[in-house]
Amino acid sequence: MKIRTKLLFAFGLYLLVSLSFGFIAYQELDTLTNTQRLLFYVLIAVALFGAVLTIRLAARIANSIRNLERAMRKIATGDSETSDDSTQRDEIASLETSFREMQTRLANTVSSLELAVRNLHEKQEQLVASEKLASLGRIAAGVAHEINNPLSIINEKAGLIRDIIRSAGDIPHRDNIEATTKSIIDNVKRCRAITHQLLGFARHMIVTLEEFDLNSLLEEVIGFLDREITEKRVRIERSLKAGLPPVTSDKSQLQQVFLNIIKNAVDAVPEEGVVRISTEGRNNTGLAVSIQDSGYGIHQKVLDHIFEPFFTTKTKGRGTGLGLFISHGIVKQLGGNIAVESKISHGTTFRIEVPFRVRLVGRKGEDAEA
Amino acid sequence: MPKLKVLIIDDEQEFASTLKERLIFRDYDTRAAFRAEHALSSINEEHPDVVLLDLSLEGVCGTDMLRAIRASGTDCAVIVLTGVADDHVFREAGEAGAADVLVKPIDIDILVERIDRAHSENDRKRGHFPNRRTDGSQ
Repeated sequence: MKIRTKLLFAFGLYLLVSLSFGFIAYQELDTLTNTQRLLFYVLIAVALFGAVLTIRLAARIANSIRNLERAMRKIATGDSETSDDSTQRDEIASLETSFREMQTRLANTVSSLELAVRNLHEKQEQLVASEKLASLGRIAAGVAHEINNPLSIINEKAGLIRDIIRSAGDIPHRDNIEATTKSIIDNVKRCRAITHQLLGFARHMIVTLEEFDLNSLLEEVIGFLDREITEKRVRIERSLKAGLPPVTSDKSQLQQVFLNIIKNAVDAVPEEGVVRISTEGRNNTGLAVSIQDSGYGIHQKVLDHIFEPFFTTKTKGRGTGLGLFISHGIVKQLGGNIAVESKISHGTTFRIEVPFRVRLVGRKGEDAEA
Repeated sequence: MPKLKVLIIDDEQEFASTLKERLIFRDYDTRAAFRAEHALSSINEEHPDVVLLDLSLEGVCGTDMLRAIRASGTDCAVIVLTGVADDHVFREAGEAGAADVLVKPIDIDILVERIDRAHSENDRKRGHFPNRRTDGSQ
């Protein structure tokens, strides 16, 4: 039964009882004195007045309850629109206000929870990927180590053959033997490059943190490539924003990343080409480094695979296809991001974002202190 | 000039023997020790000028071995050979007293250069002047 009906029923009873008493009293009116009769009429008036007040209050309560019920139903159906039709300033008005506030807060809580769940899912995926990467890293390191030994032996044996041939007098096929052993040694160097990169990949699982200036690091890296840059007369244009705050991250791993990408840029441009390197702040969370080359550019199809392991467009023997894969791994590991854009005949731009403080995706036992 | 005495400490016998041959070829008086225990006694008996120490000796921590050599009082220069090209390996080895660190597989020409360099720096530290010849000419 609705509240209004209950109220009407209660009021009806009240009316009945009052009228009954009134009627009985009225019968006895003749026996009363004037004063008593006056008192009686006053009482009637008060009773009527009280009745009117009560009706109004009851109606208001019933109305508010109806509004609350409507509002609650809105929440239940997901309608977040709130209406404001309270005209009085009493507890009921404040109840309605509190209720609307609760409505809003509930809506906010729901969206926060949704966001939190999404974040958790993402973190979980990252964790799984990170664990896989860690196992992969360990295997890679194991393989690289094991291979290094026979590789060193091959290197020395081939070198010994070469030593012997060089010191021998006139022997038939001398040139052939020399060339062949040189080829063996060159290919050993190729293998070495791969094992070293594999070991590098494994090593980046372990992070050592220090505070450093990013612009200085970039200058250092440019210095390392001095020979290549001078040989090709490449112009390095710097827009390194001054006064950037220092970064706390793994300096040597980031050095490896920038060395890889800047070297790629220098390799990509023709003689006297241009490589533009710029740094800027990134909305108070970190720094962004942009490395742009004036090379030919990279086709979208290649761009799609560019961070995959062993993917390279260099001719056989140059490049191991691990550089960008490892660089990508390192940057993601340190909580940053790496992206590439390219336009044919215009060039390629790599953008690396580094947070001020590393956010490591947790692995047991291998995290350095932040 | 007398030949430099070199001792190779590496448990990969084929590697150590072949490298020994190549160094002998280049006029270095070279020996090889395949086990950590033999290495220390070898150093004490032979007094090499330069020791080539492999960091990944079986059962022994390479840098501990390095410290042991340093502590034994011989003033040979120690060049460390390692399969891992890592900053922290370089740093640790340097702190433990290595004169140089080379990453395997090695380039023999670079090795020879470093052996000579390590020895002459060692000489300088000891107060010998490597450019002085026995016949008095400079």
